[in-house]
Amino acid sequence: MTGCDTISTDKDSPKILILTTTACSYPGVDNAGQKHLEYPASTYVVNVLDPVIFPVSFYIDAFKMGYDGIYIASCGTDSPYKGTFEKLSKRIGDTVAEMKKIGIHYSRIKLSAICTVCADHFVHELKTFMEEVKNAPKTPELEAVS
Amino acid sequence: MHLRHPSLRRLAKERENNMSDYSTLIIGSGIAGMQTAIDLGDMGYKVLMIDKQASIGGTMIQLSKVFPTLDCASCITTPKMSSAFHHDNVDVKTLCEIHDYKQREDGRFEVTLLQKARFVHESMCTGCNECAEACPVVAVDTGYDEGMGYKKAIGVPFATALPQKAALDIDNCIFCGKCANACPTEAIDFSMRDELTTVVVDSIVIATGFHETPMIKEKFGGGSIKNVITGKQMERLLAPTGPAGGVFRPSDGKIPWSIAYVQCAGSRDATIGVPYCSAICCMFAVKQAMLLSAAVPLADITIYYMDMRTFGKGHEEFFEEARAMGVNFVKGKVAKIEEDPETKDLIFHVEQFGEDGGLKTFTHDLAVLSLGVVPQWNQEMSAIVPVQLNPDGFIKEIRFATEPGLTSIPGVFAVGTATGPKDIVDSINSGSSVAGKVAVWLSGGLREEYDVQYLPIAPSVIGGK
Amino acid sequence: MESKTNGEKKPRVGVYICHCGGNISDVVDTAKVAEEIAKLPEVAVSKDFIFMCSDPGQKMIADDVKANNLDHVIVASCSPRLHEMTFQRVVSDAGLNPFQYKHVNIREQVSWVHSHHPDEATEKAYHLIRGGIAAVLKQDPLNPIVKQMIQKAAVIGGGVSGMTAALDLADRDIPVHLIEKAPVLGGHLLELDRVFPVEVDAQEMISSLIKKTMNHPNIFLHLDTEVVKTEGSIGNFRLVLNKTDEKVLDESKFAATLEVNNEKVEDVSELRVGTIIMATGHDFYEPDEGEFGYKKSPFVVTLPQLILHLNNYKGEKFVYKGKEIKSVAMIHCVGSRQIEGVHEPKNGKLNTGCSRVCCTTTLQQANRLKEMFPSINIYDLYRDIRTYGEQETYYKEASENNVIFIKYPDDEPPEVTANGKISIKTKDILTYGLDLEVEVDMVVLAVGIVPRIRTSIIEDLSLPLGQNGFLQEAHVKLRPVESSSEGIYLAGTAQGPKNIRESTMTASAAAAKASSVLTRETIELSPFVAVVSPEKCSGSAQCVAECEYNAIKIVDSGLSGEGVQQAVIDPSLCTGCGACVPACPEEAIHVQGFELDKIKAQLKAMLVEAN
Repeated sequence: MTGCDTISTDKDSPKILILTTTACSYPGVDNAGQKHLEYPASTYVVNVLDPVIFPVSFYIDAFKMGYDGIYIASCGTDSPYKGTFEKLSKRIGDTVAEMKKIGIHYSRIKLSAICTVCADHFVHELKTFMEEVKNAPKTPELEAVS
Repeated sequence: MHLRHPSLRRLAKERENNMSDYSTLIIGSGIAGMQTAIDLGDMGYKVLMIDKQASIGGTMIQLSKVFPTLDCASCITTPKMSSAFHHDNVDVKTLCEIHDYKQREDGRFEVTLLQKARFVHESMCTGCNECAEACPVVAVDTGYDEGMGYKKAIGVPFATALPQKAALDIDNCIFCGKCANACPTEAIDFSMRDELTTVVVDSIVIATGFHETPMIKEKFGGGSIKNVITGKQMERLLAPTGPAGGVFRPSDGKIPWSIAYVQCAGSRDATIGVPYCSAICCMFAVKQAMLLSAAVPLADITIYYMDMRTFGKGHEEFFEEARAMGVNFVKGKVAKIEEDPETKDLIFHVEQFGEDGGLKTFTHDLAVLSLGVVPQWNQEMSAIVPVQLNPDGFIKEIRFATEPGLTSIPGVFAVGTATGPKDIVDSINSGSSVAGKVAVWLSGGLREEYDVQYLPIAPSVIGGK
Repeated sequence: MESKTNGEKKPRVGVYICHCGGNISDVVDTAKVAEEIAKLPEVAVSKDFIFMCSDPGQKMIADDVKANNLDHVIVASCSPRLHEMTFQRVVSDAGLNPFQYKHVNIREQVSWVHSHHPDEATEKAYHLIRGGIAAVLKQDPLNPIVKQMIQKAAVIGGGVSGMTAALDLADRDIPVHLIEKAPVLGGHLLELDRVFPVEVDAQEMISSLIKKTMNHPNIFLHLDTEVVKTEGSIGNFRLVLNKTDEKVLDESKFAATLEVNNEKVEDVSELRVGTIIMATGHDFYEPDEGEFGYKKSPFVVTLPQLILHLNNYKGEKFVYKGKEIKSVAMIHCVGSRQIEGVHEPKNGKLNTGCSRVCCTTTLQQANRLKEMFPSINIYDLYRDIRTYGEQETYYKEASENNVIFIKYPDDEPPEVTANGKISIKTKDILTYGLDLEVEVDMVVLAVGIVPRIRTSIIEDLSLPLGQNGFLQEAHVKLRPVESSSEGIYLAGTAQGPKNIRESTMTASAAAAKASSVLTRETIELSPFVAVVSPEKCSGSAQCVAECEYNAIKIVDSGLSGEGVQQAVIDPSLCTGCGACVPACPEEAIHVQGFELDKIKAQLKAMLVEAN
């Protein structure tokens, strides 16, 4: 097969944690599959009702475990839960500040909004994000999470 | 919500001598029929839902996206299909039609059902679709794909079909037997025949839905111009599950750069027997125009209309959004569409209103006729279940304004577009409201409305498992 | 078979990898994944199979659970949205808790998106399954939360929708409290003429509805009453009632319908019910002074005012306020379909929506005027005539009655000058943009429908409102008559403009939804809710402010000793969103099914390489 050379497959491909939501982005990521779009395989989806559940320390721990980037596919302002997107945005802001303190580059985290049929948008954003993570300054050695 | 029913289960026990097979027979499994089935099932009534197609889902499962939220139609329909199909209190028969009907003196109904042969044993089929792979026949799919795609003579009807079971299309089958050889579970059986079965039910809900007004208008080519298609055909082209993975024009497969919609092409015209407004065409045209601006970003999209009827909640705002996106709304009457014999382009003769109005001609690559909504329930079916019809062919409701859904026969109800044009939300509301009315009927109510004496039949309530 | 009696027993996980008839196995080397997974110590069974969802596939799991004493099951196949429930049922039937099952998506999120990279796809499938195993092992069994149901309903609003909903419930033997602010039942229907499109007399219809409602043994009336406070959740709402002395209606006009049977009227100050139906209705748009000449001339009236005037009208000639009316102009879309920059916002807001009923009502009244006073001239100034469905006949009839239709541009509303004479200047699209000026004796404004939001319930229960201020449904299509708060249902125009047929339809639909929970003695709620660990909670109350659903309260708890303040969460109000979780300084809150240590275990396991 040809025509898929743009998909990075090398072992150095950054490991991306994708946080999704039951109402919006999990079906949206599924939709990319239904449309047989392609994106790199070093991507790991974990689904929750709303990423507002995660404290700053969760993101830091994920970096410490070895994820190179975190992509938060939220519902955006379409969230079925009241007021969570504002809180989530602020949380990610706080996380970036914390990341700065320990030397993790801000381009390694991205907050996005993905709807149930936003397949193309999702794949485009994910690929762009992975490029950014690849080019991001290296993270110093972090202590492991117990 | 799957809930256990302590009170109703007790009720069921008290009525062990029940003589009905089901509380309700629902004819048709489109969105309205499914909603009625789910709600009655949730209330603890045992329901049989039948459909003449090989899968449940009706018209809605064929659609691309739904207005005004632009959710994909299948994302909304499949959960409903799944909860109806897997509901403990709902039994489903596909490829099944009504054949005969008798109302007994106690008010119950004896309905004879015609179970068409599937030629595949449902219990054995795993839905692997190897049969379709093996089948050498390629026929135009006039069902799910509205004539825009092709299908094999056997296979699972479509990707999200329920049941996920193959069915054989006897009209196109050449009896080569390749499918039977390919089937890993030996589920295919050419010896199956149509069968008649009788069920006794306490009530009937007609949910037979609509089809588009036929393309009979001569001034729009009467169905003979290739690049004049119907709204539902465009739905298939736009659907993520569509036949071509994109929008093309039928004459040459090219991408259409100029697409025109003709509103009221099969409604608001007494000469074709459709004097009423079909209520959904304005919104589906606006929706398709928006989807087309994404699917074919450089295309010009024109909608010829007389009155833009975007009357539902959030619909006006949706229309304004389409206008802002650059969809061209032209107030005018399309007098005639002609085909250029060389290019197969379409020449529109239009009486345009407004300041720069007058008689004009425009050229478009592809035309979509916003045809109307006509009922699927017909005289033939009324000969079986003798409900009264309105002059326009829809099922008559004896309490149109106050208690929608009650037909002329006590115990027989109608939902969705069987009683008149409705959009999806109104069809769902109609399904839920009639489920409520059926429950009232089964609990002994509504007798006053009908002035009937016979008493409430002990309903065949079966709660949970 | 190993002994299971020791305290810390070794987990026995069954892992099943589906081929999906090639959909997965053409890309992912399912046999190899099964083989690698089988090497893990916690895995007792690891198999791959052509169709796990098929009957043989399901049976394989059920048999293995029994034969191999499996305590957890993983199926790696299509999206959980397709078959998670299927397999939860399988393990549940086999005797495990449904949450001892974990679904891993290797079709939509692996084979279909990495189809050109089978090696990476195979590796990813392995990693995702390892994550799934780690997660399911950290998952405690969960059960639905069972709650007692008060098998009574409250209906707020005694208009046509409220009465219809109440009657439907009452007919199903459910006691209903019908609460109406006004001293009479009937709502706006009392002011109407004929109900389209079947031409039922509105007064007759409403009298029969009122009679039925008043005589129903299961309906308890609370007239002149409003709800001042609401608390609780599905199954158990507490409503505090208060008498109003609102005399909104001119009683003389409605004498026929005012036969209130006082014995039926309940006089209580507090109610407890299981569900609430909101049938609070609408108001008509009140034009500003000077808007289309309103209040500048007594002969500029609204459509409801015209209907009321005509309802009891007798006479050959149409006389209004001493003047004979020979010509009428009816202007559509007053207070509806408003456009920024063209229309004046009211209270800072435009009503952008279409009011749905005014076109038909206007034409119905135009036809009525023509019928009563055949020589009258009627000009109908409209943007689009929206007589949808069967209502098209009104448009046809009006055309046959020689009503003169003038289509004005959306962004150039007609100008009404009313000093002595009334004159209207407008542009007409139908005559290719001609500027017209007509003089008329009366102007009728087809005013739109605006929300009537005057009940404390909305604030007390934080019910969401939509764009134009109507109550917002939980999902436009999946749940059109339910509010996002469980146990609250929406009927009639409280949710958006509707005609009478549509109102009664939604009222019956709301009643049907309510009755399916009200006929139960108990209800089961989703287990995905936040829970407080009392041994950790110090009562800091940081979580309370985070909760948008008022689900968290700080109470005196006997659990950690005398007088200790701790948080408790009402599971029937909690949506499981998790906003409270990071707010807790003691990490004392978790959302069941989404425990952070479980997710972290999954994250860690997904990165472990195969040996």
